[in-house]
Order: sequence, then C-alpha cells, then structure tokens
Amino acid sequence: MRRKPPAPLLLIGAVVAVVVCLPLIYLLIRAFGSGWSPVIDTLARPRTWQAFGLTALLAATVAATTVVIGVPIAWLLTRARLRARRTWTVLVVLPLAVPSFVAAFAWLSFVPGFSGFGAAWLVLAASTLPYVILPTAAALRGLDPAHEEVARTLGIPPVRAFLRATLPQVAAAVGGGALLVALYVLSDFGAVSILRVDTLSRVVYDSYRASFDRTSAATLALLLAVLAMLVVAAEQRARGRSQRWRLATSAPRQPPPVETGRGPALASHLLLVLVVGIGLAVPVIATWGQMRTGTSARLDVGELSSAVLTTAWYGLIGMVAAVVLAIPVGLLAARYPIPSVRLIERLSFVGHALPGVVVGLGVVFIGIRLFPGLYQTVAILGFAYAVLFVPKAIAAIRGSLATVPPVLEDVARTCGLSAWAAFRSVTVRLVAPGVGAGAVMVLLTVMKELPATLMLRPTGEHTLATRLWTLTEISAYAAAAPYALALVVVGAIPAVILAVPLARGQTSGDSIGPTARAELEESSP
Amino acid sequence: MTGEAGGVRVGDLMVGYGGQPVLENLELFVPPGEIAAIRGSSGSGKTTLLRALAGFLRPQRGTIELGGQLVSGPGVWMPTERRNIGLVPQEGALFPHLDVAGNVGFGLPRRTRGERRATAERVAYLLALVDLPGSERLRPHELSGGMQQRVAVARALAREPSCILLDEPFSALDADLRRELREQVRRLLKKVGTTAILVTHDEAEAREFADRVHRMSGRQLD
Repeated sequence: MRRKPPAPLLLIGAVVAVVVCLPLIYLLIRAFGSGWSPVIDTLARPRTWQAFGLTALLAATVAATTVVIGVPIAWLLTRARLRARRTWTVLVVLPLAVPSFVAAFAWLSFVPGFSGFGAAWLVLAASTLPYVILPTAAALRGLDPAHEEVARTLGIPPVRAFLRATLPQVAAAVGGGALLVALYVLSDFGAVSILRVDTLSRVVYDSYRASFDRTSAATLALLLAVLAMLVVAAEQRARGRSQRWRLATSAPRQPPPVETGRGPALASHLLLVLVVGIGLAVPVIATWGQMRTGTSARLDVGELSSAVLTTAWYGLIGMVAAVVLAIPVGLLAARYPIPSVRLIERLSFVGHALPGVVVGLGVVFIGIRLFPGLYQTVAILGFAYAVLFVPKAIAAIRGSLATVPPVLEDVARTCGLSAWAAFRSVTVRLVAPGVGAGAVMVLLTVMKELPATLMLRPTGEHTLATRLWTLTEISAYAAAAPYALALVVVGAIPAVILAVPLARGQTSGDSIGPTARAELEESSP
Repeated sequence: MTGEAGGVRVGDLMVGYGGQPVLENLELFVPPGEIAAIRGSSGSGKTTLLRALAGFLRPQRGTIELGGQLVSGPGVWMPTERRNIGLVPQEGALFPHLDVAGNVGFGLPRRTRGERRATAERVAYLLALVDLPGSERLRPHELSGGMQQRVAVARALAREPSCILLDEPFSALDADLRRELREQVRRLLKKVGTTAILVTHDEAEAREFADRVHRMSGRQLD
C-alpha cells in the first residue's frame, strides 16, 4: 500500500511547484495582458517563424549528430579493447568543461569568418557530445552481456547482434542524452549570438534589449518554451514505450572487451582524435593563443579576480536556492509516488524545459512589477537560478533517496529512534554524498550561466561569463581570453567528476566478470 | 533429430586469464544425445569451461569439437555465431524489447515471405514443445520466471543446435518449480535428442538432470 505524505511536506512541495512556475505564468500574463493582437502581430512576422524553423532545425541536426557519433564512441569506451581507454574516456567528456560560447569564441578566433548555421552546428555538436556519450556508456555498462552472447549463439554476427539485441535496450538512455542536447541547443544563447545565427533565444534577447514594449519578447519567449516542452514531451513518450521492455535482472557482469582488428582500431582512434580535437583542443589552444598574441591583450588581474569571486558567490547562492527548494520535492517524489506528488514533481521540472533567456525574461517582469525593490539584486538572480536548476537538484535528491530503502528507517525506529532521528541518522547520512555531488553540479552550472545572469545581475557586477560576453561584443577577443580560460578551468571540475567513475569502471581488458574473476582467484596458488 | 554426430569432445584444454590457468589438461567427452552435468563449487572453473565451449573465450591450448566439427584447436578458431550451439543462461536473458515470438525466432531467417512463414511455424512448434502454445505476443515481463526459462530453452533449440549449454538455468527459481522445470527440460532434450551440458553447483540437480556427472577439481574434470 502506498504511504501518504505528511500534510505539511505536501503543502511545502506544492508551494515550491507554484513558485517555480511563476516566471512562466507571468510571461503568459505579460504576453496576453494587452489582448491577442500584439501576440498575433509578433506571430505574424516572417522573422519569428524563420527563427522558429532555424532553432528547430539546429536542435534536430545537432541532436542527430551527437547520437550518430556518440553511440559508437560510448561503445568503444565500454566494450572494445581500446588503448589508453581511461585517458580517452576523460578526454571525450572534457568538452563539457568548455561552455559552448567559449568554444564559439575560440573557433572564431581560430578561423576568421567562422559563423553561420554550419559553424553553430559544429560547435554545439562538439560541446554537447558528452551528454549522449555519458548516459549511453553508463547504460551499456549496466546491461547484461548475456543478451548479446545469446544472439551470437543464435548465429548473429557481432555488429548485428549489437544492433538487434543491445541497442534497443539502451535506446532510452540515448534518447535521454539526445533530449539534453536538444534542450541545450534550444536554450543556447552565447554560441549562436557569437556565430550570428538568429535562433529564437537570440531573437528574444534582441527583442528584450531593443524595445520598451516587452510584449513581443514575452511572446517569442513563450514560443521558445513551447518548442522546448514539445521536445520534452516527445522524449517522455519515447521513454514510456521503452520502459515497458525493462526486465528485473540481477547485477550484470562485465563483458569481455571486443577485439576490433587493425583497420577498425585505427578508424576508432581517428574518430576519437577528431572529436577531442574539435571539442577540446581547438577551443583551449585557440583561446590560449589569443591571450598570448592578441592585440587587445591587457590582463587586469584585479578585474579577473573580481569576476572569479562574483562567479563563485553567485554559484553558491544559486546552489543553496536550488537545493533548498528541491529537498521537499525530492523527498516527496522518492517516498510518496501518489498522483498529487507526481503533479508537483512535473511542475517543479518546468525549468528543465525553459531556456535561460525565457526564465530571465519572466523574472525580469516579476521583478519590475511585483518586487521592484528586488529587481537587479542578488536575491532575484538567485530565484532565477533556482527555477532553472532546481530540476538538477531534485534529480540528485530523488536518485539518492531511491537507493535507501525505507525499511532501514523502520529498523532504526525499532531500535528506539524517533521518526526524525531515524531519518537524520540513517537516510540523511546515506544520501549525503549523492546530494552533495548534485549540489556541486548545480554550483558549477550556475557559474557558467549567461543569459539570465546578463538580464538580472546587479548593475556593475560581472561574472566570468558576462565579462567574456561583453568583451566579445566589442571584438576584444584577446582581452576576453583569460575569462574564457578561467571558465574552462572551472568547468573542468564537474567534467572530471563525471568522467572518473566511467573511466574507473573499465576493466584492464582481461576480465570477463565476477564468476571468472572468482575462478581466477581460486586457481591462483 | 539433432546432434547425432559427434557430441562434444574436449582434449588437453588450457584456459587462463592474464597468464594464470583456470583450466589445465582438461578432457571431456559427451556422447551424442547425452546430457552431461559439470558440477563444481563457485570459482572452480565450470563457467570458464562453458564460455570456452561457446567461443566467448579463446583457449591457450587444446581442442574442442562440437557435433563432430573441430571448432577450436591449433590454427583453428570458429567464432560463436558459426558453432551452431544453443545457450540457456541464468535467468534466461530474454530480449526485453521483443515479444516471445521475437525471442524464439531471433536466430531464424525472416527476409522473404516464405522464410517468415516458416519461422512463425517453427516458433509455434517450439512453444508447443515447451508447453507455452499461443504465447507468441506476450512480452518477457509478462511471464513468470519458469515461463521465461522455457522460452529461453525454446530459443536455444530453434536452430537445431549440435549442442545446448545450460548455465545454472534453474538457480533463480524456487525449489518446487526448479524440480518441475528440470524434469520438463530433461524430457524435452531427450525427445529432440540434442547433446547438452549443464553447469551447476547443485549435486542433486546434476544427478537428477544428467546422464553423467563430472566434477571440477583442481582445474580439471575428474
């Protein structure tokens, strides 16, 4: 029987869900506040639909590219016998450390005239490839190799056995990764602006900056939100279908590494070199070169330090805000999966589908209309960060709590502890590492955030991202380079956190699992 | 009838990991149509032997003949998919994205209309054989543990293999169901006449299921 959540917890969860939805609600009010005609005027402009089509096309092509390249790389990293596999694993995940607008800036300084749809496609695909590689590799490692082995005994050659027996089972992970890529592209503002591609996020920001009447910006932002929600709905539908296939199985063993032969091994290494070169080497080397040789290079250490400190400060505020709001929702979602809790959880995830520019604009309206005293203060910026990143924190809390069976608390209660003491001494201690890791991810994502920070930061204050942005706007590329490099260093921390478990999970190449390992140990003198 | 020629013959087999042998000088002969059990405690090498027979592991020395054909030996190495074997792993390992018919017919041709019809007929025949007639459209998660194992046996028999390898296939089932399924599978294997090798740690199971029982000890079979 499902347990009922305590009423106060349910109430707090409901309040969080409503608060998180406020920017979207306020955007709706702002867009339709003066009737339908301004909305229709905006929607009737050819430029609106050009931007809509371009945004959808860019998201689709980038997502498709990352799937086509990311799945084979995930297979190489988890299943093939690959030299220096751990190093490659870290290297292919490290592009996560390079914000796409930094990559765009670096490529532009590396290849003069680098701009347009193709340029944005290349930069965004290289930046987001790890979003497909990581979940696919994790799913492949979690899959029982018995399926593929049985397929082989049934006369199916290795590649076809993978395509027919394994790939359908990791499709949900691949789809989840592709969803993250598509949402990233929809919300990307910096890279497309630097590479001069008029996607919706850029058009929203331009409209917000260019006019006193923000109805048009609100309408365009809603259009972008609808596009993002359509992508989320499509992925959820696909995931729903694949989840029906899942079977409960015991812990999988590690499959033996596949021998690829010389030709395929060479091709595999070429692919890896290309991916790491485009996503990591060119951005880092070009930025470094720009800093050393550029004509506008004048490193102001004071300004750089100030930007680093502001970035860390904002990151901390965003992290605390997101985690505090996420705790009640995460707790409800993990422990009390009743319909009302599911609704609260879904509403709290709205920020997942809202690009930074949309949330930024929504919070601008709330700040100006409802809390004018708070507009362009750290408090309202922290609120925007919470809306944007609370889904990440909820996912970490929910995931950590799901690994702790409630029966442990029941046992603690039978040992004489109160409900709260049992929760604190058992559950909190067990979930702390997972929640902590989620909080660090939120902290570092906030530190790289650009559009909402640009719109809402207190006047005169700069983060690394906003300083980089303002300098590239005036083509001071060399002066911007130190900020770009500092951001890469900051972003490298979560990327390494993500890559190390994947790299550590690899075997040395001779193991075929616990049973064979036990046999080896027993046969040793 | 299947597997009448040759049975399974293993000579002077050596398999190891990282230079350390797990199996050494191992000899085994299973006459055609017989069921052999390899019994051993956890870590004794029985799973390694099964994986070498299936072609998932490459021996350092020795020969393996399946159905009268040399599949592994000096200068000879036949990949798994060409060995014409059937495998029933622990917990069945049914493909969760396919229905029962898709699982049983996984290795059967279905390019032309004629092939598809023949495959459907073969699947129906095998499902009747394992007492699951009419279950073609069911998904693996809709089946009980015993039913899943019976589908796995039907899948292993689908291509008329020269030998079936059973890797502790009953270990995840409760005692009564285990006994019932064991008898049913044994009857079935005898009916189709396929040579079979069961790997198990359970002495009683080995005795009741197999025509002959080999024990793993000290990297060899006694």
